[in-house]
Amino acid sequence: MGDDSGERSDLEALGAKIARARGDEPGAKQQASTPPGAGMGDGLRVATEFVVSVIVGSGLGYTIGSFLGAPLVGLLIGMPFGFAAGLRTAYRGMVKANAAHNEEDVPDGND
Amino acid sequence: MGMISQLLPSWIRPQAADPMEQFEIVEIFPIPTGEGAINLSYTNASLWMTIVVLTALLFFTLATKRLQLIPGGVQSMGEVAYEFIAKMVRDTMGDEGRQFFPFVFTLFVFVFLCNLLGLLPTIPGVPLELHVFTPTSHIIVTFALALMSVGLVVAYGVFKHGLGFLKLFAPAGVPIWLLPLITPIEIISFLSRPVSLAVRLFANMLAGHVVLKVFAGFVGGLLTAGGVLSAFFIFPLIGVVGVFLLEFLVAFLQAFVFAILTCIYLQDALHPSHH
Repeated sequence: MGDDSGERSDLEALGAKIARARGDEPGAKQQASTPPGAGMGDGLRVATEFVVSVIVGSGLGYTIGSFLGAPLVGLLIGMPFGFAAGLRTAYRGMVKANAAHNEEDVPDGND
Repeated sequence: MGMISQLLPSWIRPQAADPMEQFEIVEIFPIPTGEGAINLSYTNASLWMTIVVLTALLFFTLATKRLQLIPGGVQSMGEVAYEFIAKMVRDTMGDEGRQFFPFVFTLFVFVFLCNLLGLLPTIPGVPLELHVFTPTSHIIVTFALALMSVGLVVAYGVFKHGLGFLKLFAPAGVPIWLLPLITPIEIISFLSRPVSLAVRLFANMLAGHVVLKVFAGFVGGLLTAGGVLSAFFIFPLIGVVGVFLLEFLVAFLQAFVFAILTCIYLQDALHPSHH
């Protein structure tokens, strides 16, 4: 993908032009950064991810356990790992959501 | 139910009866395959996915047909859709993400139209094969889509970083002695991605449609109950209208969540070491 730097600068120039045109226009409205109900979506997302992590962890533990001849031991080990994975996913998701929320005012925040 | 079947016209009866009937797969053009083989028949699910693809094709053909500086109705709808996804891709993945735009856009449009067209009311009296059907209310459909997303993440990650992609399971800044604990957690967290993508979309669509049908069933039930009870039909009716409107929001929101999570996962494929 290294050969499209010319194309990219063209794109940037066009973007700047559009931004300028928008800025000049008195009725230009700020672009909505989050769709309606995104908060609800975030909440439900974390909930499903957490539940699914516990189930996947348990299932994985059970499967590995069955190969080793002790499915229940595997299940008992897998479940807390799934729980931890769920917590980690939820935590990471929330950190990202907060960061995005705080950065909302800054227009060109790239990481 | 005996009471209802006597009072209602015949074409309402089968619909009022069973809230799960709308999810039944019906073969339209059966393709005979052997015993125990995969059934390749063209079903109502296939029909509605075809309708979705044709609708998308028609819409974007119209939207891009006569491009004008000051866009008309269809063109500006197309532009809003394009800009919405383009901004999402840019915000999550930066400039490098541009190569994934076609994939994310296709995914978003397909899921959104599946959800949206599934909300069309069924014309009363048409055969079961032609009932309105929501492909995304079947977990096998959403799981296939989720596997595509995660498959692309793995394929691109391995192609771009080789074994370095495995850094995804050993986040930067974690002390060595913690790795035996963190790595299985990260692996489980990675494996649960396609499952949670699939389950979320499927569960939302399934639950929404069941609730609609159940509330609609209450309306019919109360109307045929007779006497004072019949007057109460207005409450489930208000409910069903409210839920129906909410379903439009859910149809959009779930497509949005599917697309943005795909972007977030693809970001991991671009930079496996810091996430």
